Amino acid sequence: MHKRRNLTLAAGLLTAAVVGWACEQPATALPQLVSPLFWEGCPAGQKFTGGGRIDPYGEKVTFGFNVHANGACQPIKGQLEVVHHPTQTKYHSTSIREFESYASPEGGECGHWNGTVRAKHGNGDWHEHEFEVEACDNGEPGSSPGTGPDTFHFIVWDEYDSDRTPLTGGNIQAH
Amino acid sequence: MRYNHTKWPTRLAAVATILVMSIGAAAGATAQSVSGQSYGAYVQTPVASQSRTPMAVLPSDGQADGQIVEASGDALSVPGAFSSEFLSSMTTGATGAGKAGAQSIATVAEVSILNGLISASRVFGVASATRVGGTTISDANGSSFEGLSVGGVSVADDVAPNTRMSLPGVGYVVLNEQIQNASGITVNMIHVVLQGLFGSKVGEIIVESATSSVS
Repeated sequence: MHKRRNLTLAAGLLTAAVVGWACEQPATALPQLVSPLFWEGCPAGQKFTGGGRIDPYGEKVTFGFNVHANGACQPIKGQLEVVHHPTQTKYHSTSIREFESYASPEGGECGHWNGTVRAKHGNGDWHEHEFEVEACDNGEPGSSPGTGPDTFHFIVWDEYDSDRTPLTGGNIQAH
Repeated sequence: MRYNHTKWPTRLAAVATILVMSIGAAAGATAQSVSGQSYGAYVQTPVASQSRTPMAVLPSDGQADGQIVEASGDALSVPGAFSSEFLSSMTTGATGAGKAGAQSIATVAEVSILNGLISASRVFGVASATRVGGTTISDANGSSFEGLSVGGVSVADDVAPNTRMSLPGVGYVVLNEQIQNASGITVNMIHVVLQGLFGSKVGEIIVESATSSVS
């Protein structure tokens, strides 16, 4: 089963504003991610690439991405591919709307972006959703046979939340 | 006082040498390119064949911005040799100042090889290569099996790299085959080698291949 959780972002007044807003809205509403007041900017880098595997809740998910922002921290290029293997669901990004980067809790660098994906469950039809990703580069090589230092968090609004999960394989790099 | 003119050329040569060495070291520390490739299956037997598919290959241009390529298929069947469902291949990589990397992933579900002689409910192949400064690191972390069976006998999901098993009357299979060199790694999760009389190779089947390298 897919779980629905809130993604906690920046602390302080911004966090309180987000929580306050979420409490007033229906559970299925999309968040209002408005630049620049909501977003952190790009102090931790403008380009992130990576790919690999995570095992949230014991399920296997593979992913690959690249995202590139300009000097004003606006996304200019990016692509995301995610496969949720237990349900044979494929996610393919069709747009990237906002981007930010910041220091990770582990002392590395995180990229955080949102946009639109099209999703296909098994042999079903493609349909669109809003998505959000946080990818953190916490060191090299990025993963270990158990769990890695890098983390990946993939949310498809109204459908799926992987939670922030350490990499089982692969690597994420902040450039 | 007599002026010694021989010191200046020597000092100039020393400075020039240091500059050349520094530039050379910097160039060596920055990777010039990354490469990546992944595919679900390849079949070459005396009676059937299938080219590498679905295949994802990282392009050589645009690597400074980052590249990703994805290929997938709902099902694949090569009668008498191989069948599977839900094949997915992807490869991604980028170069940058002081850091570069490539990651390739291949996955497949409900695999059956040689009419069930080898089967698995799911196979994951992951190859990662990273270069930071002048050091290249590559690994196959994340590569694993689910529900693997060889000759009717269950095999643990976390098969040790390069585990070879005999297939009487057929040849042999190498599970979690890992080929590593100075610039990267290739992972072939199931590599069946068909042998004819006197042990000569007459064909092969490769399932879940992922390659990543940095140079």
